[in-house]
Amino acid sequence: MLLSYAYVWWIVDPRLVDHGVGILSAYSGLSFRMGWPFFREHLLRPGGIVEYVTRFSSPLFCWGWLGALIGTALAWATCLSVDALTRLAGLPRGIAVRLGPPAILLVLYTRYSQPLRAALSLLIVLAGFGIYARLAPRGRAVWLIVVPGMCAALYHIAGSASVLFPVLVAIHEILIRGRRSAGLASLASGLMVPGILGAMWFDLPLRRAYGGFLAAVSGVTVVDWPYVLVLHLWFPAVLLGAALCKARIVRKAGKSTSAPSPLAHSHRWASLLRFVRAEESSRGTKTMAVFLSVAVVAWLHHVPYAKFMLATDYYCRHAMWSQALHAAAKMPSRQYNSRFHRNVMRALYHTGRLGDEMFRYPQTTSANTDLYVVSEAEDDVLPYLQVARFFLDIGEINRAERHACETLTGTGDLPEVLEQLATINVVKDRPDTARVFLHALAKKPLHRRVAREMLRKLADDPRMEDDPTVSRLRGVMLTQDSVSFVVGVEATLLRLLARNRRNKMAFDFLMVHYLLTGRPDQVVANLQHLRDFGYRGIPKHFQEAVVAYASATDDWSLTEEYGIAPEVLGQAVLLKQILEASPGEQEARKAAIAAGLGDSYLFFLQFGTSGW
Amino acid sequence: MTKKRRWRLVLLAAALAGGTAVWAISGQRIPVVDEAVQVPRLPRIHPDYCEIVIPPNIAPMNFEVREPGSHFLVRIRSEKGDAIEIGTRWSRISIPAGPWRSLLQANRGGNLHIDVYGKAAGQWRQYATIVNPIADADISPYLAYRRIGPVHNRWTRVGVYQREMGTYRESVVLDGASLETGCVNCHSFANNDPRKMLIGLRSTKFGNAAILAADDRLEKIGAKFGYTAWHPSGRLAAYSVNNVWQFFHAAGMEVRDVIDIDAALAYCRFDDGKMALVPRAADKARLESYPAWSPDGRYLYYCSAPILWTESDGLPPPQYADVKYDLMKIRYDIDADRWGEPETVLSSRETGLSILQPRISPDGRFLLFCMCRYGCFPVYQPTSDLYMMDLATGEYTRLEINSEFSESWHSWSSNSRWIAFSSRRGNGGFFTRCYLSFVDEEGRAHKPFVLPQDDPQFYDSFLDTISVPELIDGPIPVAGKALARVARTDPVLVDAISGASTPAGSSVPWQSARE
Repeated sequence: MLLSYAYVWWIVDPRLVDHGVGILSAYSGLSFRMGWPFFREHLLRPGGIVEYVTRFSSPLFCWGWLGALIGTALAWATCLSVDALTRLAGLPRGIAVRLGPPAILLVLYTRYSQPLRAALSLLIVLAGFGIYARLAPRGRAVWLIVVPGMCAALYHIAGSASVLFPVLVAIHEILIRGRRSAGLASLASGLMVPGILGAMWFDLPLRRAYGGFLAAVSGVTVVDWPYVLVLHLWFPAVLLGAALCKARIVRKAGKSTSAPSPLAHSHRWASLLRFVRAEESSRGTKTMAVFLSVAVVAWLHHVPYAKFMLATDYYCRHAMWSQALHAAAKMPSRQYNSRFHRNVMRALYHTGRLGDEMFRYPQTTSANTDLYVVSEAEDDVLPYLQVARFFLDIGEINRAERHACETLTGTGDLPEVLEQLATINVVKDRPDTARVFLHALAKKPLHRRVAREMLRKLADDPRMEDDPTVSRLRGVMLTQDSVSFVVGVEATLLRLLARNRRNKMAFDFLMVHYLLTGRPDQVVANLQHLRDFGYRGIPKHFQEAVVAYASATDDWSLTEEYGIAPEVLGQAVLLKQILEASPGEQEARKAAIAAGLGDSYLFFLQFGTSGW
Repeated sequence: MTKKRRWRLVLLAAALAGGTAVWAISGQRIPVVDEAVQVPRLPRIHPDYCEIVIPPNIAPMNFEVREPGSHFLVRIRSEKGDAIEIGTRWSRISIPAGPWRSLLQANRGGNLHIDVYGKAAGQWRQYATIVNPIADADISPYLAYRRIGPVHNRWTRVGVYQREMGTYRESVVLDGASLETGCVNCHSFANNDPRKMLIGLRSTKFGNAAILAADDRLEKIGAKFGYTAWHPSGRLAAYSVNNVWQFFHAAGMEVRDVIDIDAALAYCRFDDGKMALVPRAADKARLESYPAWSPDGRYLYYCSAPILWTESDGLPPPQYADVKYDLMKIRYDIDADRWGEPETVLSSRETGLSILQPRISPDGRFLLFCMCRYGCFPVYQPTSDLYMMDLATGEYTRLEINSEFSESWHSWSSNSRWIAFSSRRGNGGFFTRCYLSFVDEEGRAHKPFVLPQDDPQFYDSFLDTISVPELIDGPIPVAGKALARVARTDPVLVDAISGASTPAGSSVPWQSARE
């Protein structure tokens, strides 16, 4: 369990699991609000209690150590549950099967799903079954009262996952206690409960009444639901297998003849059985073997893309720009996409490295528009969230509002979006609207303090003039209206600069736009403004643009005028030589990358992409 | 743990629970407030339920006292019946439903007095009594409306809901989620009758259509019903076919805006399935929208504006802010299926504003409509206000119930005494809420109040908008599941006017959700 804890904490990083809620899966399923109405709403619906606990606990993953603790505790509990089942069947603890559920949970965490609700529902049902097995009721009361009663209680607490309860009871009654009719009657009466309670009482569709736990809700992505199914089936399968195994052992022991079973003829099968059984092999060896298997399974299901994407986004969300760039640098270039691009460009800007390092990351001529628009192919909410952040940063407040609203409707009341919309409305002098978002934010336990602090500030001064963020945003916010269907990048940036000549972000991204659209002339024309924005020298890519422009116009005096660094000039010469020496473009490209020119603007200008 | 220690723990827990119960109950005891200091002003309560006309069949109007105090006492009384007294430590006042209902029913046409006391620094204070008249006329027992997030392009959460006015019970009529990715909107009823309903739907998978739920008919009509108006006979519905484009403002309070690039009126006769354009209200040079029938069914009122642009002007056309709609009417003979000539009722040239969303009171006396600075979609126009026209004289007045924010989407109760409308007041003009207002015999609308909720702080953190409120005379009898099932089937009638039933693509903004 210690290894599992360490793996979840350090390798998986529960903070990213928390960050993924709302991005990889809808936030609305895990959104929590304090107050009696929200609690009552959950108290009254099937599965609502577990759902409420899940909603409350899920945000705790924002503390990595606590998330790992919760995840490990769940895994440990499932482990103990398997032990209890095998013991109930009269078998000793089996290492191999007991580590199945923790392995599945580990895999789900490795894939940045949040299986808290599924695991909690399952554990409640198993606890219910544990109580039933301990009570060991007899007579007709079992299937007439006890099983339907417990089923109803479990259905109300844990939801449709409770269908496992009558299944476990049936296996227990038929195979362990040898009461076939009681088992079948319990199964029938228990399985009726979700139908009666869910479909008839709560008016749920039959599919949801029975299979709601398999629906893609609350933290687990659609593609990961097979794992949840396996997790749920594991326990009845273990009980069934253990009971059958025990029956076979008893049968064998009862026979005086030594007629070997057909299986015993198989040497390999026999060895495996011996290995699996706890009493016949070394515990340490088995533990190691199983851990290795779990590690291999977890590793095979590891999704590096999700991890790096979430990590980059997480760091950008918390303005940890260097860490964001560090995380993005680990991403293979073939998987680099607009989700990375938006974060990387913002991180480069905030670290002051945009003009020096942007071509160290994949760039294409079309990449520029990704910062400003969400393409139709991007059907999740993350792009909207990222574009909202970008627009809010740069001063396009209305566009930020629009994209934040899209995120809100797309994923639910994500705290980051509520905070964003509150800020936007304060900046727009709509304190009453900001208050609605802040009151919604104040209902989230972990954001209550921030929300209340902002509400207090608003009460003191509805314009929040003293707030540095609000003042900065008001200073750059567009005030002259224009309407359009299509975002004109250059026009947008020029409008922002017309509004505030000191809007450094608008200036930097205007230069980026000129670089990426192959207009070094415009880069050169704007170099005169660098000092206005605090530049002490000319960033590398701007210098490369000067060289490109000088080369195109054959006016090399510019390089002297702007004091272009010798190494930049050297790169230009080197690239020219490579182009002349290479038989084709592909060869030239490869040679240029080999020569270390892949991260230069000259390379981009020549080949249309950066050479990362 | 020893047995003794276990018992101690149990006793401690019991003492704690008992103490809490005693504390809570003592807070609810009715205190003696005979020596309260008089405060000569109305108490600040939230929502603002002061000086309003109350429907006699409304759910308890719970409120929060926003005055300082550690204890509060609220006494609700009227001429007949027992007063309701609520003593509490909390500022939230929850009115018991039974006594509230009895008090209102016993005092129809009388006044409801609300005395608020607050105890601060050991001293009770009594604020001026809130006096709210209780109307003699009931408000419609149900309200159907659309709940939607602050959408711009994505339409992931949208649904038509109904709410019982005498309680807080809300139920889904049709959820957009039941159409996978779908938008449901423009619900309309014949004469406030929940048994005759049309709901428009746009679904990427199941196409654009309208669901007709009329008496025992439940069908999907393959027509893009825009704004819809049932003929009072229930035999046909007029609807607009709008080519709407949504666009966005780079600055200013409201981000969203829409424009009808083209629009026309059409109608569907349910008995013979005929669908056709309204001949003189489908002018290629004009935009026709927002149909509304006169209660006698002889006139169709609608809004019409000239098209100011050509195709080469681009989108949105630069003249978008110059579009102003006139109020028109056209005669219709239902038996002969014959239309007359359009007549101007009120010209935008005269008002200087765009006239939209006409709705005529069921008694035929008044016409309630919106006017805003420009355009076709008042909910996005902060300048949109409600106006009332006396149909006997043709005179109109701006209602006093307007706010500095947008008012729109109004509907009448079947007894013509109540209106429900959408307003963006109370939250800075961002979220649309439903307000109710009493309209007296003279057509004067009284101070509106927000649709009451069990939790008085409900709207403080409510992130959805409630729009297109339609007052109806009972619950919608068709189950949401049945509506969703029909929505997923193939349409029975398909018209060639609106190009309906083509799946809605996200690249076509007019099909996206709007408030």
